[in-house]
Amino acid sequence: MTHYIRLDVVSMVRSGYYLVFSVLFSAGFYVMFTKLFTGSGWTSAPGFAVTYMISLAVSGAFYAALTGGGIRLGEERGSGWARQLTLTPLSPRRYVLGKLLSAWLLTLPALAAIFILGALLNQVRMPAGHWALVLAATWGGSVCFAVFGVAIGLLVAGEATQFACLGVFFPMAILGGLWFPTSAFPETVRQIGEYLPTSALYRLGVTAEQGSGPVATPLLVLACWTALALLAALARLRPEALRPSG
Amino acid sequence: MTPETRQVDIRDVTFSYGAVPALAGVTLGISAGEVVALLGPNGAGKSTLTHVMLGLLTPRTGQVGLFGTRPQDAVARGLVGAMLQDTGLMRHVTVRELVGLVAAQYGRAGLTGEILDEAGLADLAARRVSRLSGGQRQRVKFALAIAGDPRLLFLDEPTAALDVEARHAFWQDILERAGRGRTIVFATHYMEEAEAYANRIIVLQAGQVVADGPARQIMSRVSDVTLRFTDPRAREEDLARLPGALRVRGDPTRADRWELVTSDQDATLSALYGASGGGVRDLEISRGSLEDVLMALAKETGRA
Repeated sequence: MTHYIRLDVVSMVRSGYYLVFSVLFSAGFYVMFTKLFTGSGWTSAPGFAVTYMISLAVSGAFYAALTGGGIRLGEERGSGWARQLTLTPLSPRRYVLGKLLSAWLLTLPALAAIFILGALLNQVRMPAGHWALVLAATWGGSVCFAVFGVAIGLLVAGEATQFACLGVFFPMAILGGLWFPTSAFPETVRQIGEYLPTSALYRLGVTAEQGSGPVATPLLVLACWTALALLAALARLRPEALRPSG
Repeated sequence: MTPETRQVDIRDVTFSYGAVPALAGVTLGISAGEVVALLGPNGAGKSTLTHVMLGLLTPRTGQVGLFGTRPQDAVARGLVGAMLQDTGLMRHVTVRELVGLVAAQYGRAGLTGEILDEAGLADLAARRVSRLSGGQRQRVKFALAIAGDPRLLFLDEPTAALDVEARHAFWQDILERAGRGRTIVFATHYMEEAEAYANRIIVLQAGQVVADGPARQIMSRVSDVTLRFTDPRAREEDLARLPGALRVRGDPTRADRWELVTSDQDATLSALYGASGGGVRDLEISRGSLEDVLMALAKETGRA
């Protein structure tokens, strides 16, 4: 299975789509709002370069996981490649597990790219231990996104997978406050947003950066979403799930 | 045929897509070393049967066994290779990477170079899969099917996108595998392919096995042959009286051109040459089409 995961990750990195939408997209956002539009308003708040670094890293990781787990799996199911590959000793279950692991691995470059930009461009500084903790927290929590991706890839097949992933990504990123502050939203929407995995992982990252803060609630929220997505994925993981028409 | 040597064992299998029946009670066994053609028109159930044998479709009723176990277990043990229709390939990888990936699943990553050679892909090894032509993609799919040197190889319409030369090389490789005791099951609607390369033909029609036997025996049951020739001195009523003659038709555009369908070509031909006094020219002999075969078999079995 390691051979398969390795080639899967390599081929994803080669595809322009992954780099553009999972890495460059959030990098561009980060540069734009911390370097170009910094005059006033929410982008001029103290410590913004650090918090926005964490939120856009989480955003990039989320889309990376949806691309690697969801779009890839949906496409490969739709084209019949998943069926061909699982007619070898690689079983359908291990094929899907491999997709989960490659999706999780693919969140790393997306996270690292934004952290490096923060350190180089905006002089974000923190003790080495905190950097390690931020990376560990955001990457560890990204497992939730990888499970999400795989669940979508098993529920939807073919070209529709991309739309399904975008349909999950945009609301969750925006309502979770990853791109803009949620203060402008109605109170109820804002409160719901706090129970999204995007918002939970962002708060976990900020806690790691500061060395203290809320941990229990974000972890619980992430665990619940992960369990939910896992159940959806397992319910769809039948032997015939990898047929092109399945 | 003892159960021990049986690699495929199918009993009373039925399958339907929703309300549309695709297999209506199929029973067959395939033994080691056989080269079996599943012959039938489009929609006869060839692909469905192949998918059932591979465990990709679960039959509604009946049993399917490969090597004495469930198809999934035989696949997991690396005993099976398959080349199916509508198979996409992984993107953003080279031919060598893709074939190497599949070979690695069988523990044969080190043999990737040999596999590429066998499939005629040595020159294309470094090419991206997305830049291949239709025929080249078909060769890649063949390479994936043989990457594990499986004991049982399923091929669904394998030569569909291949040109004549590639087709020839493909069958040479298949026959070489069969010579090493590998079992080959291929689905086709080309009667010529079934006749030339299989040693056993299973004819499917409307989800049922309508004939199953050695290739020679199946083909000889359809003995009708069409003779086309030029003979300026022949008369229709004389031709119709030739031994074995079933139907005679004159060519409406040429008065001296004839088309004669016979059930015994040897008797008809010998009488034709004897009677005409050397007037026969430009003789063409053609076998019946797959449709003719199916009609003849249907007549025999009483299923019209």
